[in-house]
Amino acid sequence: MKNPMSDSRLIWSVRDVMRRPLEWFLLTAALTLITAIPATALLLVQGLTGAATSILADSPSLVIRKIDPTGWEPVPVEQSLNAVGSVPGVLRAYTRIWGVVGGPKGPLTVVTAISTPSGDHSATPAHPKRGKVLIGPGAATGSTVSQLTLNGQTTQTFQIDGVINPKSAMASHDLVVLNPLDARRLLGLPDGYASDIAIDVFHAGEETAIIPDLAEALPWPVRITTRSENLKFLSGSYARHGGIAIIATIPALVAICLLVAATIREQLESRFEIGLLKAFGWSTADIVRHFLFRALFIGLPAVCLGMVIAYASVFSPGVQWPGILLFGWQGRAPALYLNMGGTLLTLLQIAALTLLPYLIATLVPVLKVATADTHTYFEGDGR
Amino acid sequence: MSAAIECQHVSLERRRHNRQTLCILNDITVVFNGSSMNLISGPTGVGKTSLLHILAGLLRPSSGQVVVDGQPVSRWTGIHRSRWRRRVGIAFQHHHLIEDLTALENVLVPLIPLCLNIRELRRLGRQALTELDLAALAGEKIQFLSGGQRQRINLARALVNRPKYIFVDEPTAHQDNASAAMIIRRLVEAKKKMTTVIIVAHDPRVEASDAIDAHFRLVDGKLSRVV
Repeated sequence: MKNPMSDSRLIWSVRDVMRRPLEWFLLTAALTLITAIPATALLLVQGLTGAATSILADSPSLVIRKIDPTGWEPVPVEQSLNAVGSVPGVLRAYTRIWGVVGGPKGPLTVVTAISTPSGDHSATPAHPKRGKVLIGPGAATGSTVSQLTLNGQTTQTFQIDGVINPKSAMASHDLVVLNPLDARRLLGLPDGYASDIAIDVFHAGEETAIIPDLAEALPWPVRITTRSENLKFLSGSYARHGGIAIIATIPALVAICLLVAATIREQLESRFEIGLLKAFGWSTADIVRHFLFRALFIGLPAVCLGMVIAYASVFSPGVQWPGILLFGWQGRAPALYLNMGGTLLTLLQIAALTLLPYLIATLVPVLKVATADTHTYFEGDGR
Repeated sequence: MSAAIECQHVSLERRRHNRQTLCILNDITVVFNGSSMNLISGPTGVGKTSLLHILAGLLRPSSGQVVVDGQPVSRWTGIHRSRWRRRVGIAFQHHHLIEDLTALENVLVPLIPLCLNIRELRRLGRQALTELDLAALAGEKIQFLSGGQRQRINLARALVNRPKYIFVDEPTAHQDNASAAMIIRRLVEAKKKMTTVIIVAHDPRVEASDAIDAHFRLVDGKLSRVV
């Protein structure tokens, strides 16, 4: 098989690009940025959406909180479970202890167990011993710090027993897992009381159907939220994120339009050179192939580099600027993990958005010029 | 041996800005014998270059045809015309070299679509330059070369793919006597290798050369044989 690197046509195309190194560099840089900006926004939204949907799939079907005119109230565990357990359709009911307390760098969520995406059992720890905590990646203040002070109803300092697996960061980013007794004390929950009641039902369609029965079964005012409501809330959030992504993409779209216009003009201006090539026996196919090689030599590395930058910006742990810039996240952003299908689709969208218009802008004018009669290129050349 | 090139009733008309038609070539019928050296001379602006371009397949005649080996090459379309152009070598009057390429790269232009190995390509290009005493300029960019050097590179480009038909337009312009003699010598060598050479020139040094087998004169759109 012939070595493509020794193909004189390919080498000629590469040499042709190198004739104007500054132009080549600027064009590559422009295409890279045009690719990287929308790809970062789209990948971030895609990564976030995938992670959030996965977490939500493992959340309870319904969550019940006791309310009074001042806000949330602790729920009495035994009375609550007896009441909701008798409601037809309830598959499982359990109470949870959790709350938001002040940490060294901002608010942290205190729990006594972690709900993580299905199959990620490695991330689910047992309750820590009293006085010890497990912390999420976002709650860590430094690798050498071994203590964590939390401010709730009381101020307590705990020994850090470990950091939760970073792979579950979307679920556990700002979590602190405490022993239930420590948690009660910190949150000011009396014995026999919990933060809320979680309920699982057999079928998603039953979520809304049993809400009136649950409200009636409990002898105090409650606020009941369903998993589908949370999904709707997230959908709205995704839509906002999508909007942000589109706004981030607009300058890139304008830039690609300018690039396409400049490329078309350049190709039309190269009609003399195309005529010269035809005069020396280059067929239309040879010329189109030459310009296709040229465009791919510039476009492919640029688009690949742009995608690598976008991928690294979104999926590399520790890279914070996309989240801060697009979503206003504070502190360390949770690490996102690649969802192969969604990411591939996003990358294809970006390739279609940038590489395809560039290739079309390169080839269509060339085709137009290359199929013209040769003498039109040499008008005025003596007579 | 290359076959003869035959012009059969070739005419070329151009439409002027005032929509009047200008007859540049008028019913030219002529045979350029195979493996011969032919000279076409005539006053400036009479249509010599246009005739050369018609023969080289760059320009279509308004009527008539160019026949080579029984094939009406001027009537061929698309890919067939590029096949004809690969069989010919043309040196333009105004050089038409690519300024920001080197001399060697310019000479390689006709060889690229032939898909040769890059080493073979460079060898042929260097050989063509050496034959016109241009080897030292292989790596020089065209923009830094003199008019005479450019003209010889233009000729080297026409000769590099060993064509069976060579069309050269004013090859000795900008050349001193020694270089002009070298160019004519090079064209004679090509003719000896069974190539048909057609030169357009009004340089007395070419007209006086005894290497010319047939001398034609183009006046008022008509081509007539002088010698």
